[in-house]
Amino acid sequence: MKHLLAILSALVLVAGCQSQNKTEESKAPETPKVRLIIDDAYTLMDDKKLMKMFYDFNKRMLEEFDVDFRVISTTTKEDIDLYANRKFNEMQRQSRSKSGKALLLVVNPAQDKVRLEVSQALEPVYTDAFVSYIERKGFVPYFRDFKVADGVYAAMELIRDRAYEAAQGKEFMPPMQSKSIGGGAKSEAHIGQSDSEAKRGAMVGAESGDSPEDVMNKYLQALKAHNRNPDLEIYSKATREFFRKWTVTTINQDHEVDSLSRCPGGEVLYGPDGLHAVLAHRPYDKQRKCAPYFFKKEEGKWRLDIATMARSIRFNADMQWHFDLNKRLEGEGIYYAFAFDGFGFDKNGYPFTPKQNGNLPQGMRWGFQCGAWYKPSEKELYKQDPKRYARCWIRNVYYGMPAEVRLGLDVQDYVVGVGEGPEARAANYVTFMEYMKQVPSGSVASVTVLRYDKKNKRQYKIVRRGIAP
Amino acid sequence: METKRGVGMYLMIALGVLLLAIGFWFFFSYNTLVKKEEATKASWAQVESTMQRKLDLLPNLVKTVKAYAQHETKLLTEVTKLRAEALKQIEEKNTDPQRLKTLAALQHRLDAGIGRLMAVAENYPELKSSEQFLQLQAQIEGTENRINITRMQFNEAVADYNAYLRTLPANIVAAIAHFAPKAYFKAQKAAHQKLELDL
Repeated sequence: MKHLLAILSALVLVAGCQSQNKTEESKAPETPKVRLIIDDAYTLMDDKKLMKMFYDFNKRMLEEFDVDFRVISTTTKEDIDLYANRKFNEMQRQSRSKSGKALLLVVNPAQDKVRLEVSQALEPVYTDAFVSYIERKGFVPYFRDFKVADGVYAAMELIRDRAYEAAQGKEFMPPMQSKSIGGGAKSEAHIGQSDSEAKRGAMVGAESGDSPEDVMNKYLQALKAHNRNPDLEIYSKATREFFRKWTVTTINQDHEVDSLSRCPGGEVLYGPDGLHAVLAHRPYDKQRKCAPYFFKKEEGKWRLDIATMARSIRFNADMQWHFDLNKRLEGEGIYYAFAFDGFGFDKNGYPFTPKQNGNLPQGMRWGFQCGAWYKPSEKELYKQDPKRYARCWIRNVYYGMPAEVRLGLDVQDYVVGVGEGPEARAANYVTFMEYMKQVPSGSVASVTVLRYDKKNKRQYKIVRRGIAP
Repeated sequence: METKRGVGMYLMIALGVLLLAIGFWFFFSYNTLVKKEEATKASWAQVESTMQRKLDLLPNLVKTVKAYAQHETKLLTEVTKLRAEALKQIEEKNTDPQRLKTLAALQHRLDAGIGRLMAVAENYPELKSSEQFLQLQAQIEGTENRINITRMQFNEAVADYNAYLRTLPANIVAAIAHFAPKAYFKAQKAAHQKLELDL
């Protein structure tokens, strides 16, 4: 009996050891938190704007397409193909994708190479040829201008566009394990190596008799010919300066041609000064993918003002345009605001047609209403002479009216002054209202207000400028 | 009499348990060997599939280069011949050591030919900058990378299989069930192979 028990114990022990080994092999080691971006080459994370965009983009790719996108910058000497594949499969042990769809962008400034590694599930969508194309034409041009972070952002946009097309055309494969067997492509990154061809192109002249539509047609031809000459006569001076510094890729130009071909026609609206015009597709809220184009008359010729457009107009992931509300009325922007009379802007800068237009009080020039306020230090003075010491706070702004569209006034702005330069002066309620009634049409109205910044919890002074209606 | 019967019974039980354990070991080892062998076959299928993919790209490459460099007929013909040989080899579908060696050598010669074709493009700027050629180049580089990765994965699967084959008690089970070690698919080193293409 004792021998039997001994034999049985031995058998159980051996069997147990074997199964324990198997358990230890299959148990994954404790994994650290998932890292979406590894910046060992210190080329990316200093750019806070890019980081925010990257995390937003990453979240959208996962939510919309179930694609797990990661980025590594490294200075390793290991072959970039093998490194990318190894890192990809390591990172994908903690895949965030439920269907095996993953991408890894590797930038190696030391080897001057970039590679996009593609999981098996995405190979039919991101083919080697396509990946090579977007690398060469889409983001290496940014790398040449030493804009590595911008190049990564451009890569994200191109990747997202392709995913969108694939989702529409149902090109995604059924779910599978997330791994890579070497799909993707690599390219020379050319970081910091300027390209003599980058700003090449034949001159395109502007004639005195050209209308904004004629200029637009010339611009379209230049885009189709991939003309990247920044000094074209059809560009305003500010735009030429802008293009000398801006990286333009073949893919950017092709996208713009595509976008313009989807928005034929449009109407040209001329500003009251006769020196600014907007090619508009109204109503703006029904044609969100047709961005307005700005034109400025210089030396008697109409020219594209892309510099102002680039400063104030943004596009979302669906290529719908909207304004950056902080930039819309900066600089030359005030001269184009007239084209948006009748349209309000939501908090993200998207135009909309307000419902109230039929209910507006008659004869309103600017479209705002004042309430009265006084400085706390002037309380007693206000009680004695309210007309002198009362000031205006903006109680109401009607959407689509010039106060909002042209001047950028907001509810709860506290008016403290009017005018600019030598004509600047403090303004009480009466002087402010007089000023707003009398500022000549077509001239620049200037109002200084106190505005409250909810995010930073502080009040700040800002000058609002706009062309008077 | 009672005691003898009791001991006999215990011995029978012990024997039964032992046979059960042996059976369990055999069952477990056999199944593991089968799984690992299948893993090597699956990874070899990946290698062959990527090789096939590369061979499928070659006619396009030859056609594109021919359009710009009609005088390079010798090179183009050589690459076409090598492709046909490689296709024949892939059809054989076994992983015995001699066949793997032949396949590796053939791949190396084919890679050399493709390399020469790509080098030819340097002499023809229009070919070099043509989008079609650039895309083909990206696709071929892509398949070469895949061949490299899948070859590594195949060798890892073979290493895992071969190592298990040598452990106890799996080696006993393997001998009984006729499981044999598998050969590795080693890439040819450039220095060992003289280029045979004549330009």
